[in-house]
Amino acid sequence: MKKTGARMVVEALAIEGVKCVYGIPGGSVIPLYDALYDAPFAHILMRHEQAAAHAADGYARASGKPGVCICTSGPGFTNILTGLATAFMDSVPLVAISGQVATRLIGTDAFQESDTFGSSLPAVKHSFLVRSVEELPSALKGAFEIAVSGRPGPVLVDLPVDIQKAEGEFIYPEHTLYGNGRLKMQTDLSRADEAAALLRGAERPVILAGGGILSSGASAFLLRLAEKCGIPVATTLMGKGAFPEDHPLSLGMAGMHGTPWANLALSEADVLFAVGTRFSDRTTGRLDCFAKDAAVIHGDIDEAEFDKIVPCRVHLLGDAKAILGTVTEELGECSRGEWAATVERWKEEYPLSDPGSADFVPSSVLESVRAEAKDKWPVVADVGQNQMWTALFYRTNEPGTFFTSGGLGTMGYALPAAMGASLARNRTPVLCFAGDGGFLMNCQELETCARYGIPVKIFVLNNGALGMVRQWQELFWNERYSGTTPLSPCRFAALAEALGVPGHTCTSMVELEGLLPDMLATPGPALVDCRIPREELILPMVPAGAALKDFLYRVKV
Amino acid sequence: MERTIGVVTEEGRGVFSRISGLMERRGFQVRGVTAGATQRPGMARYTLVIGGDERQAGQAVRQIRKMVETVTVEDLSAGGCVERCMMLLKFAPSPEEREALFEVMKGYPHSVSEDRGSSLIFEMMGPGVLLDDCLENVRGLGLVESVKSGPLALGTN
Ligand SMILES: Cc1ncc(C[n+]2csc(CCOP(=O)(O)OP(=O)(O)O)c2C)c(N)n1
Ligand SMILES: [Mg+2]
Repeated sequence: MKKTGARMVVEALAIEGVKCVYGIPGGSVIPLYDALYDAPFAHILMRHEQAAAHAADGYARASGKPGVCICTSGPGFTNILTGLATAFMDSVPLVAISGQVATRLIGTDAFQESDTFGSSLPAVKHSFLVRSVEELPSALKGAFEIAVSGRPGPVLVDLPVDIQKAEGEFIYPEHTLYGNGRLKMQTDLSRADEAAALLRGAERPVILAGGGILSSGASAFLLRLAEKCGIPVATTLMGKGAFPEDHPLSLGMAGMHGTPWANLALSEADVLFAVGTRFSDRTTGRLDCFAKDAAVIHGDIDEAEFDKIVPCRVHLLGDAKAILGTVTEELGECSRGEWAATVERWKEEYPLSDPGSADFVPSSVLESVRAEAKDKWPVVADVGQNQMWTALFYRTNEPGTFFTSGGLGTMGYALPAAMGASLARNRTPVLCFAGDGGFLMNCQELETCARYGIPVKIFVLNNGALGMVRQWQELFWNERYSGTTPLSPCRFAALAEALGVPGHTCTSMVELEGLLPDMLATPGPALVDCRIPREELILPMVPAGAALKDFLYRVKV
Repeated sequence: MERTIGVVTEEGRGVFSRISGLMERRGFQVRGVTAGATQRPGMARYTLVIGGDERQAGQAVRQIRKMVETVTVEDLSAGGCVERCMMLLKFAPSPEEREALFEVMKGYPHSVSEDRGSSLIFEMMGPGVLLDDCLENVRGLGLVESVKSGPLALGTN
C-alpha cells in the first residue's frame, strides 16, 4: 500500500519504539504534523525549538534510546541547532527531523529556507537531505542506526515538504543498513594484558571514568574492577554517576571544580586508566602537568580520541563494558593500603563544606534537597556555578541519574532536559537545578511543564548574578563586574505562577525545609526561587591554565 | 612536512563538504586536494595533502574514518605511494625568452599542448615538488599564468 512521506515518518518512529517526540510545527512540516495527529506515540508541543532538542536530549540520556525532535525549516532549524551541538558534544543519540522548503525551491532563497544540511554538518554525527520519497525509509532507518552506533550522537533528517506529501511504497528496512563494517565499529583489546600488567604493578593507580561508561551501561563492570583491585575512581563531569559517590573508593569529580582528592590523586598517580573520556580541558587542567608521572591507559570506543590530547601508553578500543571486563579478567585481587591511606588523608584535609551549616548557601540547599529526594530521581543541572555546586554537593549513587550540558555548557539546558528525562522514565520526578541567568534562557518551558503536568521540581539557585562569570571577574579581573550583576526585578515564583506552575520563594534553610516535603510529594511541576548570597563562590577551583594540583581552596568561616 | 592521505568514499551528498569542513574545523592545513572517480561504480576517491607529521596524519585519518561514507582511508606517506600532480603553464615569450624556455623545459617531462607562436601552453604531469621546481625555473621567461592541480596518489603496496 502506498503511503505519504509524512506517514512513513510516523510509522518509522513507531517501529523504532519512540515513546514521545518534541517539537513545534510550521509551514514546512504541516503534512508531518497532520500524520502526527493520529500517531501511536505522544507529541509534546514545546515553546522553543532549542528546548525541543534539549528535551529529546534529556529523554535520550534517561532512556538510552534516541530522542526525537521536530522543527520547521529556517528559524525552526536554526533554533534547534544549539540543541544538536549540545548533544553532539556530549555524545547523545538524537534524531532531529527538520522540515525543508519544497525540493524545487531549494537554493532559491525561498521563504524560510536555510541551508540546513550545510549548517548542521559540524554539529551532528551525520545529516541526510532527503531528495525523494523513495530515499526516505532508508534515511530514517539509517538515522536511528547511526545515532546509537559506536559513539552516539545526533543525526539530522532534512525533509522537504513536497516529499512529506508525496506517496510511495513504504518498506522499512529490517536488516541493518549500515552495520558494524560501514560504521567502522572496531574492537581492539589486544593490549589488555599490558594494561593489566601496568595496573598490577602500580602503586598509585587511578581510574578516570567518563561519560562513555554511562552510555555503554558499564557501571557494574567499573565497580567490579575498582573493588577487585582497590583502585580509586575519579569521574569527569560527564561520568558523574558512573561510580557511586558514597563508595569509599570514590574520589568524586575531577577537573576545574573537581574535589581536591580527585585532582591530587590524578596528579600523583603512577598509572591512570581513563575509560570513556576525551580528556576535556576542563578535566585535565594544564596539560603538561596532567597525570605527568603516570603511564596512561586509554580505553574508548572512538579511536579518534586516542592521542588527541593525552599521549597514552596503551590504547584499548571498544565498548567500555568489554574494555573493563577484559582488563578485570586479567587482574588478580589486590589492595593498596598506603595509597588508600594517602587518599583518605586528603579527604580529611580538604572537606568540601562544613556539614550542617545553617546558612542559606548552595551546599546546604543541595544537601537538604538530597536528603528529602529519592536516590533514583534524576537530577539535571544547568550551567554555571549552580552546575558545579550540584555536581559537587549532590552526590550521585546510581548511574543515569545526573545529566548536564558538559561539553558545550549550554545555559538553558536544564529545564527542558529535565522534562524529557521525566517523560522517558514514566513521569518520575526530576530535580532541576538552575541559575537565575540560565533559567531565564528557557523559562518559557514552564508553560509546557504545566500543560502536560510533568513533575519537574525546579530549584533556581538565585544569586542575582551570572555567577560563574562574576566569580572569574572577582578572582581574576579585579572585581570589575561587567555585565554580570544586573539588578533584576524578576520574581521567579510569580513567573512560574503566570505560566501555570506553583511557585515559591525561600530565603532561609528553615523556610526551604518547611516547603520541601510537600513540594516533592505533590504531583506535577513546582519551582522554588532560592535567594542565595551573590558572593558565594564555587570552590575548589583550578584557575584556567593551572595544574590540577594548584586548586584554590578555602573553608568558609 | 607534508603527508598524503587517500580516502575512498561512497558517493553521496555533501561528502566533500564534510571532509573539507572536518579538516578546517580541526585545524589541519590542507595544502592540496583532488576528488575523482575510481574503478568501482559509486565510489569516489579523495586525495589530500596536509601539513604535519605522522601523528597529525594519524589524527586526520582517524577523524575521516568516522565519516559514515568513508570506505577506506590511509596515510599513503607511511607505506610509500606514487603521487602525481598536473600543471599547465602559459607563456608569451619574446624570441630570446622562447629559446631559453625550451632549453629549461628539456629538463622536465612535458608536452606542448598549444603553440600560437606568440603564446604557448605546456602541460606537465609529475610529483608536486618537480612541478614546483620547474615553475621556479621558468618565471623570468614570459610566464603569463600557471595552474597546478592537487595530487592523485595510490599506495605502492
Ligand atoms: C548560552 C550561554 N551563554 C553564555 C554562557 C556563558 N556563561 C557560563 S556560566 C554563565 C553564568 C550563568 O549564570 P546563572 O545561570 O545565573 O548561573 P550561576 O553561575 O549564577 O549559578 C554564563 C553567562 C553559556 N555558558 N551559555
Ligand atoms: Mg546566577
